[in-house]
Amino acid sequence: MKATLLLFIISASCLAQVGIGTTSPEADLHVIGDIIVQDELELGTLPSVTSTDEDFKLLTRQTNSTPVNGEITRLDVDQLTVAPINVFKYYFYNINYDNIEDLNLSFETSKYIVGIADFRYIGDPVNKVVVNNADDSIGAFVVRTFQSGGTWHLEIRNRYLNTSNKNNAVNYEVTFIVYDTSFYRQLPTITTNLNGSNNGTASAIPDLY
Amino acid sequence: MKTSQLQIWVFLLAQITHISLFAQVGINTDTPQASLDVVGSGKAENKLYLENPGNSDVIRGSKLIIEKTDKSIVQYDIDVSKYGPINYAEFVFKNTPKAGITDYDTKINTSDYTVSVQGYYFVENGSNSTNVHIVSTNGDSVVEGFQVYAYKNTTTNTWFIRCLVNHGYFEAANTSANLDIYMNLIIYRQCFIAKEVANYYINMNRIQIGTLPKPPGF
Repeated sequence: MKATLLLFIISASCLAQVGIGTTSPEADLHVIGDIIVQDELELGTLPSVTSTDEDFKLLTRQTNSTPVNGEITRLDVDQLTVAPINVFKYYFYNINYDNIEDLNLSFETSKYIVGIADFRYIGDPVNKVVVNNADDSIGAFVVRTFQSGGTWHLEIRNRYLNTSNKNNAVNYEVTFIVYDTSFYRQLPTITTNLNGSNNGTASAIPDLY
Repeated sequence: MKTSQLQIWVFLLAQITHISLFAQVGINTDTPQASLDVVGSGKAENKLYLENPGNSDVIRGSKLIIEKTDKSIVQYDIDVSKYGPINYAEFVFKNTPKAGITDYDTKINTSDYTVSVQGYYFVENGSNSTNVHIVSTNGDSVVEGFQVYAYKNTTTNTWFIRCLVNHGYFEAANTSANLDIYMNLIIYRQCFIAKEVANYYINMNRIQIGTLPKPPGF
């Protein structure tokens, strides 16, 4: 009896593999079930991804899990409605002349950053007009997303010029890149007065560390 | 049971109780340096919870943790990995005709990657002059639109690039010169941190100022 107990203690502290919930452990510590670590978990050797690995998943820590917070989960973007980066094409038609002046995209600025790529202007040109009684102006063509009232908005138009036809003159296609702000940080606006010079230096450096 | 035997039992039980409640447990070590110190590998069949792992407040010098398809946990090293979560490549198209680029196969497959053109500029081939402008075949009184974008070819299942003027062509200071086109391509790996969402066709109903509902789930 004594010997058995002593052996048990020895085996728990010294011998090779320990199983919890299993008699045939496949690792030095093999737990059939959950593990809760209250404080730090330190990994002495953590191998790196190799050059042939594919389709690996990012791990994330849940801050609202049960029975305790801190459940480690894999980030499976196929299962998520909103990924850290979301890419989609929008195709706009039946536009008034060439003007999308202020379209509220309804993405909250607190949750998302919305960028534009792959812009396509499809259709008729806009007509030049005489400005200041002399110059044929090409106007000012604008493609931008901007923040207003807590959401992201879209403007695509030539601000001064229009197409000849009011109806079905142009269509626009854009790719929106929608970043989740829990992964992508919005930094404060940096405004610099160039005092009429065409050279300048940033008035503030974004704090990125 | 003799008294001496009982004493040993109590002693051993105390030892075991001590181990499970207060002391440090070592596996493959007699000198554990944490409450549980496993010298070797560990495997959890179900969940792992880290209640108070602490926060990381620096980007440099830290690595993301990933799970491989064999369920092993490793660190992500962008210098070693086959791909980055987000990849940037400059594409330079030399000596393109004034009409631009109709179909250029990047050979990047559409099942694993999402490609977008996020910047571009034009120079005159040979001289590198930046004096490249757009000429409309509709005459001098109009401003012609153009398109520079990536699209999916559903036959090759690869991303293609297109760069063209709607009704016209690109022209340099030397009107017979061809162009060099520089493009910034951002290439997102799908199913890692980026996701492609379905296309949306929006009828503006000729309204210039309006509101569009968010896609479902956002």
